Amino acid sequence: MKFLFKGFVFVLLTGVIISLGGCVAPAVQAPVEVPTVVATSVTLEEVPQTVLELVKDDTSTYFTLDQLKAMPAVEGLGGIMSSTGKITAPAPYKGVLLSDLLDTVGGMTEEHSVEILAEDGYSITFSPGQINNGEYITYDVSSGDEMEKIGTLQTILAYERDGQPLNPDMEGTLRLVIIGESPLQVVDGHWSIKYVNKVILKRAIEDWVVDFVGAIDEPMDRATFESGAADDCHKRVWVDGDGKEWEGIPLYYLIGRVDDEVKHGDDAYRDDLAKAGYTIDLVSADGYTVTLDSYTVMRDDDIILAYLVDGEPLSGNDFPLRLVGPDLTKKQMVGGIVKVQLNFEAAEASAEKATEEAIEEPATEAPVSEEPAIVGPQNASFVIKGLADGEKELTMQDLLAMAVVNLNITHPKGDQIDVTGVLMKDLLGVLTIPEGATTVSLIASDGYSSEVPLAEVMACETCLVGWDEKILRTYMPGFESSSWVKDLAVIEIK
Amino acid sequence: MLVAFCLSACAPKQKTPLVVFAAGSLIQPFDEIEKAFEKNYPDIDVQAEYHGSIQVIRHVTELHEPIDLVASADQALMPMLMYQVNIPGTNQPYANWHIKMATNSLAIAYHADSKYSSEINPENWWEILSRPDVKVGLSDPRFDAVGYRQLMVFSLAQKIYQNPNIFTNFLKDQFTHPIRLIDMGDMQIIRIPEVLETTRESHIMMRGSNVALISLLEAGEVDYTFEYESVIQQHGFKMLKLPDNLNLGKPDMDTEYGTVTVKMDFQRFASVEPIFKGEQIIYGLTIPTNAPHPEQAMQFIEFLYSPEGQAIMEKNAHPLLLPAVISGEANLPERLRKYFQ
Repeated sequence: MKFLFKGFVFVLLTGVIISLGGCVAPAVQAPVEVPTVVATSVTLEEVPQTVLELVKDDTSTYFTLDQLKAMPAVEGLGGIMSSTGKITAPAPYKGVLLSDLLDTVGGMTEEHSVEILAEDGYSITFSPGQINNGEYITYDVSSGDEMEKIGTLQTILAYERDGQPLNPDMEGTLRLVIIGESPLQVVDGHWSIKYVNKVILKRAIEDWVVDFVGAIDEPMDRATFESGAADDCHKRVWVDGDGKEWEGIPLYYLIGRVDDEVKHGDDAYRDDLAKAGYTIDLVSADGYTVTLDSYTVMRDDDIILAYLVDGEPLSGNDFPLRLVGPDLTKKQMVGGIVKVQLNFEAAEASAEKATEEAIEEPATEAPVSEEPAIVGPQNASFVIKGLADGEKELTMQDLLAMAVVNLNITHPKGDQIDVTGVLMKDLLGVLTIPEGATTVSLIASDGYSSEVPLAEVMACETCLVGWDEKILRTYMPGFESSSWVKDLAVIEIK
Repeated sequence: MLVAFCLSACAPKQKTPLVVFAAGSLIQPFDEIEKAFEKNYPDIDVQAEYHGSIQVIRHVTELHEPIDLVASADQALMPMLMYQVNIPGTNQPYANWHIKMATNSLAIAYHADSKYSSEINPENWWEILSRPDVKVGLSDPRFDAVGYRQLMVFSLAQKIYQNPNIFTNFLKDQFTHPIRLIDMGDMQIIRIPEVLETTRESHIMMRGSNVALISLLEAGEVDYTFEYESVIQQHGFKMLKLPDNLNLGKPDMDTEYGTVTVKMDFQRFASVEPIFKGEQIIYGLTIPTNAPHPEQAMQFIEFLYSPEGQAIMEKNAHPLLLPAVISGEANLPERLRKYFQ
């Protein structure tokens, strides 16, 4: 029972039959694809023992020894030199070509690698050149000196040696062996693996570089990112509504590498710059850009640049990085990110403009304000639903016509921020709220929504519908951060 | 009856086997120790096998082979793999003490005909080894501690020589999947990819073990390769010693050595986390708790630390660390205590 997979039961009544094409004699039971453990009442004595699990794209196909033997067999001489120079002379092995086995699941291309795992916990990965072209270094069987390869080498999963089944205790039921025609050469022992029980065909890890551009530029490659995302470093995980687990690094850590010259340590991230204000463009390969403001991102562990989903590298439109997290709208969760750009100019331009305006308009002719008013998004508007007299649309001009206030409020993260807008209680106070309404639903342009009790909103002295340069948003001091809705589109009274 | 008695009485006495698993870099001195020990103890047959240090221990803990003595080139593996793992069906760990037996240092091995051999010195070795026309050996860092320790030296050298390009200049464009050095501020991380193959134009000759590189160096196929000082001297190669803050051989320098870590992009052994931090090279020696012949194993250790054993190690440029330091001292067998106090 040594090679029977724990808990696995070979089941004829379940699973998808994988065609082995011409590789399997028609009379032989095809391998059975079983994605997970299958519970049945079949007793172990009735179960044909599977000896190999072949995995591709999270799907496993299991083989019995008979099924492997039914595939075209190859024979040759396999010997090894250990890492300490000990030579085991070539012996005749018989088995199935690993490339033939991989062909049953689509074959191995230059974009793949193949990991071989043994029952004793050993594993090593082979390249396409090794599997398809026999690219191994060879050594003289007598001297151990490196020598020119004689003939071709093939990588096989052997099940026989000297015409006999392998000794399960000495070599396992299956052994990966590099075979050739000559008894005069051996290969490195690393490539000869006893007790093989699993083969994983995987896409070779694709390297990537994402440009981080700020006060300094840093082309960040996969390995650098992964090191930062290690368990003992800045790893952050978020599980979305579909149960997908996204893993990566909070965006602000990465910004900290380029917001000034200091890339590491406690001082790497510049809170002062974030508070002063700048924008962050996250640019995808197709040019789609999501812009966040520095205050939104500041020290927010829940705005994550993810590189893994459910433990696997991102693929398709998400490759290589995707912005995710509970503090983001779906629209903001841009994938395929190729560039992250910090725009300090926007903040500087805003400050300069405010300065110019202050110079052009004498203080005596303007309302006195310690803080420059934020210029709002000129074409912004939102809809109010659920009113007793129907639906209303409020534009930026409508809001500016109301009592606009500049407030210094406390963000849920604890920082003080200056905001401009119309008090929520003033706004709701001029509307015809239907009797019995209890709830205010705040809805963003991408559908994100948050509900708050109407009475509490009316009682809030500092809750605003406010704006920055680009969008309308709610500022809700004293409420959960989830009610601080960005890009406000609808307020619904319920 | 008379004949039968004679046969019985004259038959050679069965020798007690003493199975020793040791690191490959101990082959030469332990080979001599074996011969001298067997001369002193003719009833014992030393059966030595040599492997990489992790494999040496795995033969005890994962392959469950009956082994009497284990000598690893990385003593830190013993607490990790032997102290913390119990022998199946018992409450006993595979080991709960070990002797910090010896150290070693990395150096550069070359020969008289190596390119630029008349120029190379401790101040320019990294520049010469990066020249495209110089063939440099690299033991595959996925398999061999010498390989990943060599990469650590290149990383440490950047700080020592205040040149941030030393690592990159040596390795750039040499592999189909690059080895990367990641700057984490106070820490440098070397990432080894899962598939590691040199490009066709590479001047780096990567081989599966340093044994293969020694052979290439002897044949003049390689100009330079990194090796343990003891092995270089045993083979009579020319040796360029590295400064103490680079050679991974000096005590009290773990703070400096520890600024570099090698991380593999794969897990070769299920029980070994593929992360190796720079630290002094120290060999460990222990008798597994389930050793079939612990008395004979203790005799071997006693012999190793006898004047004759020490002289053999000295002669092979691999002196024992004296006085020996014991890890798990309270568990050291009583019989050995007198040697290590």
